[in-house]
Amino acid sequence: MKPAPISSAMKQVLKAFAFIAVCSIGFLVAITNDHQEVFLESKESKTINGGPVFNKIKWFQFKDKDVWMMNQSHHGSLGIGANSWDRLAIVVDKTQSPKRARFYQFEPGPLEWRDDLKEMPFKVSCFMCHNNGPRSIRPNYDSPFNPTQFKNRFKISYWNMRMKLYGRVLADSWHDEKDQVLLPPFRFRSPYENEQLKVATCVKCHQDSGFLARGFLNRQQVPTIKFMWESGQMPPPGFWLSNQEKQELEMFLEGF
Amino acid sequence: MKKVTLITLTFVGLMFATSLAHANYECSSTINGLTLTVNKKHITHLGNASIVVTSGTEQTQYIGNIHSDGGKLLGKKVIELYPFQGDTLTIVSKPKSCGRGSCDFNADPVITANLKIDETSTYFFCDETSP
Repeated sequence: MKPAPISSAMKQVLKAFAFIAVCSIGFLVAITNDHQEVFLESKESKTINGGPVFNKIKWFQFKDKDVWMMNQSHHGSLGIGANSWDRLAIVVDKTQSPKRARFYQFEPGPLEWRDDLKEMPFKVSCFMCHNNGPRSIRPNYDSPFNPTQFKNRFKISYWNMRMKLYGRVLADSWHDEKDQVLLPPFRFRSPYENEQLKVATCVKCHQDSGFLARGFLNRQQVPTIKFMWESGQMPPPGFWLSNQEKQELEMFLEGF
Repeated sequence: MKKVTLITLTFVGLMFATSLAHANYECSSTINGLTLTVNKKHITHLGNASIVVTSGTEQTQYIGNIHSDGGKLLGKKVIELYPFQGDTLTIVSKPKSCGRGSCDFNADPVITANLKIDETSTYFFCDETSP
């Protein structure tokens, strides 16, 4: 029995689908491979006075490492001169397993990566927010300043997926040595500041080993934990805290 | 001469005792108007801090030993109440405001306390009245 011939209308539909698929793939490849920075108002970061924080982020890919560079302004979307932007970088060493990350603050300047950029002391303690290397970029898409271009939403999603796929990222032990003379340090070192969050649902991922391991969260990371919990971003879909766990988390956030 | 020396010593002793008796934390709770005063320099053979909990006209005094366990960002003091059977007063301090991991270390910190007697915990908001 001969197969039924494809009707002319069906052919048109198939052609349209193929055309849309090719265009979509081309579009995604184009936006994910362009090496332009993305500009956004952070949803999470605020200035000490609660004002908006603006980030310009750029990703440099090398065979042995990924470099995530960021220029950050605590002085509005335009900053107050080029020197008001904090130039920061996280360098992920891909040659080790688990991966290792080094954190840098550089003298103000453009988002251009070179190995000889001049380092500066940290203005803040990186570990307070970065427990597991680079973190997902969370723009405030409702920003009245609206600096995030529509096409960059795809790029940010792609970059975030890239970061998720790192799995466990440890802070390079290079920071342990440097912290002996730094204030603020990369990481606060007292036992209390390093007490671990042990809420059972949280430690399904926030522990040091296992497939989903993202590293134990520490008490010095309370501002970040608080934001993620209160903004509903944690726990992620499919996970929830029991009333008992909520109480444990609140106690931890209060410092007890 | 002996009398003058005695009076001087008594006067100096009183000044010293007064300075030691200065409360270090004044705390209040939203529950039943409870207040709590911590004098961390009240040194006796039972411990180096005294705690007075006031509820209306009723006062309860505890004595305990302070253990500090804080760092440059977050502070924690645990007072184990005498005789120690697990009852504690925990006082924690943190910077008043933090943004993007940067914290305002110049402003007065936020201090809270948790008084745990038997299985009952009571939370307090505190002010440090002298360092």
